[in-house]
Amino acid sequence: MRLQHFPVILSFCCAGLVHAADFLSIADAAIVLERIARAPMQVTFQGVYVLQQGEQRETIHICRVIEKGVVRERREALDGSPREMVRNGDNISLFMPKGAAPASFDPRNNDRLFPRLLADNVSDILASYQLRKTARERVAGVDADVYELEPKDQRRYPRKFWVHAETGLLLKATILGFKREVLEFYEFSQLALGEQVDRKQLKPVNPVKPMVADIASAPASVAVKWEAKGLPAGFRLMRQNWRVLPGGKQYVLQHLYGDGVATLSVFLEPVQPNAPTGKVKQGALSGFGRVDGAYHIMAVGKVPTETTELFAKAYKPVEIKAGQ
Amino acid sequence: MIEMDTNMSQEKLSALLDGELDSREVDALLAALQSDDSLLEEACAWQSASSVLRGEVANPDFMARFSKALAQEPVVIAPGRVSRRRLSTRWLLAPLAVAASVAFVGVAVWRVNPPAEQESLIALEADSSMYAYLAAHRESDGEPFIDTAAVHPKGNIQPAEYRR
Repeated sequence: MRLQHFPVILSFCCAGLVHAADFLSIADAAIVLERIARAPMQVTFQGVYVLQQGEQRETIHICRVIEKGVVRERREALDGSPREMVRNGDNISLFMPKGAAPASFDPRNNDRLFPRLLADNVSDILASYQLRKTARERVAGVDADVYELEPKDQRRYPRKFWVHAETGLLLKATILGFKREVLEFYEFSQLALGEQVDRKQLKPVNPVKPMVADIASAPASVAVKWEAKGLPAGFRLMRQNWRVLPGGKQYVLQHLYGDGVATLSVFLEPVQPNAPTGKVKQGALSGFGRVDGAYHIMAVGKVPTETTELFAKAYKPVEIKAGQ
Repeated sequence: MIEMDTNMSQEKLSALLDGELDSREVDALLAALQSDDSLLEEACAWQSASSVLRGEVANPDFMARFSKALAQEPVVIAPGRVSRRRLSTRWLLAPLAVAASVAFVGVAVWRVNPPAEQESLIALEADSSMYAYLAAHRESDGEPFIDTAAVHPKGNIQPAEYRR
């Protein structure tokens, strides 16, 4: 074992010691979370961050400029195949490798990339989580206050936030398993703020194409309505829409839930041959699929597998009889 | 002399897990792993511990060859042996290594005893169809950067839990 590994092991062991720290009051926690949620809409910055989801790691360059409340942004993947996203207010242009473009595009929820990971309504978050401050550390050369967001139940994962002391910007964020193992993380390795930001960085380097919103309406012949009873507390239905899955052809009904931090989708469709059932896990992302009569129900989210199972099992198809 | 060889191999092993060896050195080390049980145990424990700490598998090339080597020596990866050694010599790592070796053995066993041809095809299809839902959710979660061409579900998803 190399010496360089020991600091990591030591810090891992010491992580258990901070649990005694007290939680912030709801009012104090709300002030901190609101600051984190607001910062990406107020702060101009540019930098490089790393994200790891499961075994998949990526480095992304970001430049985000806020002028008169309008967001202009460019993100570019620095590893693997070239990918680029340019935002100008609500308009988004993408450059993706051939065949990798999203199967359908819904602009309503697409400004939730790091460092904008929190919902605007932080009271939703504090219904399901508690917040505590643990330390002050340096990330990307600047001081960060470290906060732990602890779930009140086992239906969602703990998270850790490194918050730029000066602006409230998230410099690093992790999703932890219940054994405090890191399931997913985002972390700035380099950051420049405000006047240091070069506006030329907003210019795309690849031939980006404007994305056209594709919000499908219900197919003409829907023979079923869905009942969901006994869903885990704290999740709110944020929207429902019809969409095509990547690589798929038929329209699937998607219900998107959120608790202010974690999101979860329930996909509902007539059962196809080879519809997957059972559990699946990929980093912080879990899924549970089952078949109910003529329908397939699949719940997927950045939550423990048990939560996706509860969602999938809570949904029941109710056939709509002719004439109703 | 023997001890020096072992130390050298351990040094190599560490470099390998950090992804610092070229393919010729990897082959040589894998040959050493097959002939040296204790080194193989070391590899399991280190790989497990470093995977857990970093949340990743260190070197896919190594994992592929290592699994092939394991297929020829399936007996040496009994979890009991790994955990006993860790408990006595590296108490600091012990809880990690024990927990992780169970998961690692799970993966290794799956690779050592591949399912019948038809079953393995089903697992692969299930991977792909499951993946569509995971990718669809990530898109809805505000991630436009999902590269379906680069991210193959194989290896990212645990296939053991599927059933039809």
